[in-house]
Amino acid sequence: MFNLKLHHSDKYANVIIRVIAWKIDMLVLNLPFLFVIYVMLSQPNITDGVTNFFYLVAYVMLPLLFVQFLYHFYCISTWGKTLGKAIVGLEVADDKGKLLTRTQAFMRENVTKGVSAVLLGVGFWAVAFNRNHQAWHDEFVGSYVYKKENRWLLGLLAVFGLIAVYAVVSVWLFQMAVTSPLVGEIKTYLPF
Amino acid sequence: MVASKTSSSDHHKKNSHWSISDFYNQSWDLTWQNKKLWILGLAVSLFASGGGGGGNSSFDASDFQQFQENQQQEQQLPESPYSDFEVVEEAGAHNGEIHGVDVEAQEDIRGPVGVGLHAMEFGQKREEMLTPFVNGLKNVPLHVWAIIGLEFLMVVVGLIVFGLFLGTWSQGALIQGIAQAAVDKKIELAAISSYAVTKVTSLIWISLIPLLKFIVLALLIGAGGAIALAFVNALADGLGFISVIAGIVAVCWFFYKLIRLAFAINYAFYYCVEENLSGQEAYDQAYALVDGNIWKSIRLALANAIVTGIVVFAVFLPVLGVGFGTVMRDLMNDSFTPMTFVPVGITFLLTIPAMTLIQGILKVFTYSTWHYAFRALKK
Repeated sequence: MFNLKLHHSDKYANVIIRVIAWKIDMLVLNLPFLFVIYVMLSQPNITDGVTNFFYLVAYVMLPLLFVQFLYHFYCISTWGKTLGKAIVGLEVADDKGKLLTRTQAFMRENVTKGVSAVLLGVGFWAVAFNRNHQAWHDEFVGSYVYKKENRWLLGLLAVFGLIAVYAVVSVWLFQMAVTSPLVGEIKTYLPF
Repeated sequence: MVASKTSSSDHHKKNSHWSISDFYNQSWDLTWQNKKLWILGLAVSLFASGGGGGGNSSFDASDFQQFQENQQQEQQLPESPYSDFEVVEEAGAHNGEIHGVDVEAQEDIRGPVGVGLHAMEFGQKREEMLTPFVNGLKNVPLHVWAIIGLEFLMVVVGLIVFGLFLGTWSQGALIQGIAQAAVDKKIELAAISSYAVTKVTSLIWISLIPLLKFIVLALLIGAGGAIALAFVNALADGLGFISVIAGIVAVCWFFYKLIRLAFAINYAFYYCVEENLSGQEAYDQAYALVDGNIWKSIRLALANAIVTGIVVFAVFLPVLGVGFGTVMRDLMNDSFTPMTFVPVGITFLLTIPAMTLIQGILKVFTYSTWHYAFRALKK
């Protein structure tokens, strides 16, 4: 566990390719929040802004929290992969290559990843030093991340593509904010 | 490694008597030789608020004291300055009069009128600011509030259930890990974790049901006792001392039972996980085990609390000293700038992971001491 020797395996996914898959998932899952910002900025005044904010909380933000909580667990137990892992060609399964059960997937994604995250994420970085490239949360459920296809370049392109989308949309939203009547009205109440 | 593990096992075999120093030696060997247990210790320090020390509650006497102090401070606070603003705001000011009262004549009593006028402006401004927000809230239809309420309810219930699951699973896994390490079995996190999952419902039962039963019973007895005492006092005057004696006895009984319950719950976790018993069976056996061993358990709980406190302070106090000393030095030299906080902040940030790791190791150590105590009591 605390052996700091780096390992290489052709069968199991290493830390870099897993970070790429994670980044894709994170960027995709947070895309709807750009929509939330867009809706808020397109409000004509504070009154409508407040009303529609609660619509967004009810119909977008809180449901999104549920989706984010269940996304990894459901995808891993059903297909053995999330969108990010599918793009880079990874699959999560047990030592015999079988898909994880619902309980195993829940424990991996929603419980033991919390343990991996403590101490500055040392449990995630354990992937680099483990012979089978297992993170702590993999050890907890006996799961392995198999390298089914080597598509790290596609994954990298997907990450850069998504970052580009975020950048373009952010610039567009910033321009929108400059001319937004809602932001203008809020400014009139600010002391500076 | 193998030799030292054998010595740990030997300790276990010859441990048929109660000795806290023996428990500490064995626990330290076990904690140091099985570093994989530290992961489980980290899980417990992350997910379980108490436990391993004779209780599972995160709300202790110091919290209650803090709560009382906060309440007192709130009561002592002066009235909000806005309350004055509101009075003046309502009154308005026209030609030196407020509702026909010569305000200039009142100036020496209530302060200059300018303050009141500023307050009035502030009040109007505040109302102007709030109006669109209030209107926005009024426009939200009822069904949206209903959906938000339902979703929040789901979040709250989900968090409570999830929190209970996490707390009991992590404690169950650590206890099972310690039990395996103590008999020199290899620690397989997957096997330990899946076994702990199967024990979660029993452990939740142990955490909740006996405590709830005790609270209900204590309330019923308290209410019954109060009625009986009122009846006795009504029958004959001068029997007030009976109430005092009965009150003291009741309080002593309550605390004795509460402490016994806390230790029974603690040992029930070990019965449930190590002996593979159901929640009810584990609690019944643990309750019987505590009988006659309560002072031993209290001594171990105190020793663990002292060791934990000393270790945590030994790490945290120097860091606090460095931070406080740096700020004070710059303040006294008149060289205090916001940059002073940079080294202080970095020191604190570096301390957080160190403290987390130490907490995890301490959890393994304290749970190990309870494991050996449990084994010694069972013999």
